[in-house]
Amino acid sequence: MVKKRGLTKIVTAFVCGLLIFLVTGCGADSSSQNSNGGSGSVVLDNGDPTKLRRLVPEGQTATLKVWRPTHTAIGTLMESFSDTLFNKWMEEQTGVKIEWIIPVSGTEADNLAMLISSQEYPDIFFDAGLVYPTGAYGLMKDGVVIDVAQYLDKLPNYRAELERSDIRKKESYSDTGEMAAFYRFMMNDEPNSTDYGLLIRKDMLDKVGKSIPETYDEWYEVLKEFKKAGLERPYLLNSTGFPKLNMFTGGLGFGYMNYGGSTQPFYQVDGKVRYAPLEEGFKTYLQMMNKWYEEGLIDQDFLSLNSISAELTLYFDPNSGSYAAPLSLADVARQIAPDPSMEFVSAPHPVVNKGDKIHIGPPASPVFAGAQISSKTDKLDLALQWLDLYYSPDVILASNFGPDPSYYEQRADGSYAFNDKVFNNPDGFAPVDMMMYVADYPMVNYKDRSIGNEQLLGWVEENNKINDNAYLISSSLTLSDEENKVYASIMPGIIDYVEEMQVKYIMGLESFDGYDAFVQKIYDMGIEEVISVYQKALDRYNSR
Amino acid sequence: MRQLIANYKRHKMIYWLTLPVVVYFLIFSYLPMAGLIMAFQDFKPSKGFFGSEWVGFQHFVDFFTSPNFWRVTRNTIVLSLMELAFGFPAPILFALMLNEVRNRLFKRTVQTISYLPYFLSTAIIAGLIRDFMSSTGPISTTLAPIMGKAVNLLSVPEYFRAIFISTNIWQFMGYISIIYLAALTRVDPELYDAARMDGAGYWKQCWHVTLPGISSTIIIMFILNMGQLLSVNFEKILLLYNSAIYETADVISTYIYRQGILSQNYGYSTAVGLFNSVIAMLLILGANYVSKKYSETHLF
Repeated sequence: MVKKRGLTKIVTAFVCGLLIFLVTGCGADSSSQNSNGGSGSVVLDNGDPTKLRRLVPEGQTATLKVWRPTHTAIGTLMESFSDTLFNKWMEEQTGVKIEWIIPVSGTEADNLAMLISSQEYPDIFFDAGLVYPTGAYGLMKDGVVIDVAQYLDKLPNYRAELERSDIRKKESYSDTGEMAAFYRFMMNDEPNSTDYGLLIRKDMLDKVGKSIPETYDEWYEVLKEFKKAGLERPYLLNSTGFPKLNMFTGGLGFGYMNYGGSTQPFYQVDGKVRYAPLEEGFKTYLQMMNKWYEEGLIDQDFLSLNSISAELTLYFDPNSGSYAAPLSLADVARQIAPDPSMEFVSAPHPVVNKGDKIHIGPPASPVFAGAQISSKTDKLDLALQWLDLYYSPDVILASNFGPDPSYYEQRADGSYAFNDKVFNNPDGFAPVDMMMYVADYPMVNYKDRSIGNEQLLGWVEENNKINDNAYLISSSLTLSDEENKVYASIMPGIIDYVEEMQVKYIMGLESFDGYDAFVQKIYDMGIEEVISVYQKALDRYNSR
Repeated sequence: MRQLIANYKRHKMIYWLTLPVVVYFLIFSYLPMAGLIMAFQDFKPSKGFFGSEWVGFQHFVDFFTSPNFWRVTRNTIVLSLMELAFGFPAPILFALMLNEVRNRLFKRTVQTISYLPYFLSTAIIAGLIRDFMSSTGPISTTLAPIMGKAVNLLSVPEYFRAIFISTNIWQFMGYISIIYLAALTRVDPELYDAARMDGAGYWKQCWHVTLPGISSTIIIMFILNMGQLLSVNFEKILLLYNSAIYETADVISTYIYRQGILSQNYGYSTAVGLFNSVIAMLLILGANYVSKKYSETHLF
């Protein structure tokens, strides 16, 4: 008996030891900091660093590993990003080969998380900040990528572009003078127009004899007519009850992008942070939506409209009357809708009174995070030089329109645009895929280069005219560690609660009599603490 | 130890046969348990196990004091109990009924049809359910005259539990009944003859011969089921639910999924997972103990 007990003890101790040993072994390389200084590759020092030139000695090649979300062109037009005309040209000119690490579409966030926890970083990340919960800045704070600000001396081209304007500097540097990425700029520092808007059925408008609605009341009238004319779903609503990207709600005076993750659902009025559910406009919107729902003007199954496949099914359904979507879908609808009489036009942001301006819409910034260099790369110099070349005057045009002049033309006013080979491709490829095939990842962007036709441009301009984006908060706002902790411990609960209640109010499952209690509960959950923390961050941003 | 070696010498092949399975469980079930340490840390992937800050029981406290804790726990328990009360007897009854069918062709056909849904993935089943329950789906339009108007049945909190349990039964009943049917074939036919001679009618036979005959199978299945109790088919709920029915549909796992997505809070999710597993383990041990006391069947 004693022998048996002793043996059990020994076996237990051994198994425990084995477990501990294996776990330790797995974590061994987590603390080793990889040296920088390009020990793995020699960067050719050949001539003017601002010009496009070979980075690798003749006869040799170097390879950089780049993580990058996929694109619709891959698999249809080409096998990998290396097949784009731009990338082939860059490889010829610089001698640097790129090995692309491309996660399966839809799994970018998980893939990035796994990559980071496995400690095996690529050399460069493209657009990782979009899928990381704390954004591009968070990647730097967590030690995944380097602080570019420390290397500006080695980046003549980037530095030249960066210092060209104040807004570029303000958006790229953090409050503490760090820079988490190589930021992408707009040529004239005007935000790129977004082509997200409101589409409404022109053929139905003609049928009921109404013009494009401009105010909320006009929308109500038009939708009622649509319903009378037999449309089952006069207005498609997103499953959260709010159209994406601040569409449709701007006229009521609030911005609300309640997605969670790295998107923070605040807006600002004159430098003061506001949270939409606490404001009057929010209640007005919910009441309006509730009324429309009760009268059958909103798709009764809107709760299931929560995926791209669901959207695409309904967008071209003859029973759908209007919805928020990329305006380019109007062209697509013409081609693939089953009912050829279906035609869509863009409706401007609705307002309360005709002639009102709105102050918030889809987020637009003249500066956004682009490429980041990993902290563990052993090809730091090569990566720095390679990314710097994207800002060189030799490369900017090619990255926007491609190295092959047969795909674009120069207009009379000196501006450039893609020609029909891209927008009306004879082989039937979509413009957005053709653009990817020809050009790629411009770091300094020409405005509106991806908007193909006059009609679309006109609609986008219309939307831009009404909106001055004064309420937007820049996405390069940064929160300190303590502020992040406050946000992360309070906000997810509030976001969850509001999301649940907003749908219930729209569907009439909750009566508006209890609305004040709803607002009070948000206060009880600690929203003021989060707002004050966010306000501090905004103040810091404004004083950069 | 000597007994072990003697046993081994006699049944060498059995030990070698089980070796791969034992190694599998060591590597994939026991080794990852070391990761449970995340439940007590503010885990950040970039810092790893040894760099992340230690927070002790903070995650558990956060969970127990979170605003929705009672609601999600209640829903988890209610759904599990309903699954037990309705989903557990269903295959047994089905097997009993099927056992009485004399026509072999009919019996085989019914069996095949009934266990086909098992092979459909949860995503397909959820898609089917959403289509059927939508306001233009067959079920809503059939029920429209009774309910006043055609409504998306998945937007009404009161209906969710019924929809969830009934579709579960539909999917799994056929497949699980195979186990009971196999057990039923082992009941000695002579016992039936003896009972009939004693004057037992159909129901008495069932109660006194059939059920006791398969009682050991029933008890083992029951104990195994207890372990699954708290993991109420998370994927299916996730695919079916929406914010309008959180009241009845939101369970612990889906709630944590949302929290996790919003803040990529690995430590928190691990802590709640640990909580789940501990409860499940207590349930299995409890069920095993009770069955040990009151019958001869027990798992361990």
